[in-house]
Amino acid sequence: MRYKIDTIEPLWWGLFAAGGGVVGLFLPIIILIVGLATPLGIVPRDRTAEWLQILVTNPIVKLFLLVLISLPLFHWAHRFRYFLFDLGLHGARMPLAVLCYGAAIVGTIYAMLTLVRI
Amino acid sequence: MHGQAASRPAGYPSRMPADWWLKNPRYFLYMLRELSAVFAALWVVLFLLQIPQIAADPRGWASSVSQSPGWILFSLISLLFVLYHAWTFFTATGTAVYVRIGKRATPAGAINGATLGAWAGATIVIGAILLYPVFGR
Repeated sequence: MRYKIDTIEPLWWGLFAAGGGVVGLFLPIIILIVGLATPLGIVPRDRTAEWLQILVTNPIVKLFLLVLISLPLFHWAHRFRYFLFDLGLHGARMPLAVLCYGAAIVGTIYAMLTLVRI
Repeated sequence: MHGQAASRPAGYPSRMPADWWLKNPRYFLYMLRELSAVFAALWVVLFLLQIPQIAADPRGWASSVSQSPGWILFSLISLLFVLYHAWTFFTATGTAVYVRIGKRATPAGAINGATLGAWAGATIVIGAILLYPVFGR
């Protein structure tokens, strides 16, 4: 009972691995353009922003955005849990798991609501 | 073994000192890679918080991020972390994944090449979509 969350470890590991793929495949180019090139004006700022508006309101792009936001959260949850173990935090195993995976679930629900509302 | 305490070789303590990862550059890089997930997750959350403004007032969003050194600096640091994650993730796939074609195991180098190729392909496709207003109009 104490470690019941570990019985569904393959689920968390699967989400972690999928999230690792999403982070690696898609985030570098998105961060480069949305987080750096657009704010710095390396690409035409207003035109890119107006194009992003068209993209983020498209239903198919919204689905992609949900994956792009949700899976990195599960990737973080799993990796951060073990990061804390690695740092020597061996106690509070269950509360930490609930906190990490819970935050990823809450973040996913919040992302869903945000993307449905826009 | 069940119900008994397993005897542990003397060289493998069950608890490492908390600073074990500072004692070898490779351990330090390992922990840095673990930390990359924090930056990736924080970046997507901050991006999520900006999406409503992008949808409602794109020029206002562009203006506000261009005047935010914090966002730009955080994006730069996050980019370095996700690039490090991507490289270590995709070059480790050949070791982690076993693919057999016929009776032969696919060499790790071929699997790594395929994942790095997928990374390059995804980067080109997403980049082309995001930069469509620059090149497409």
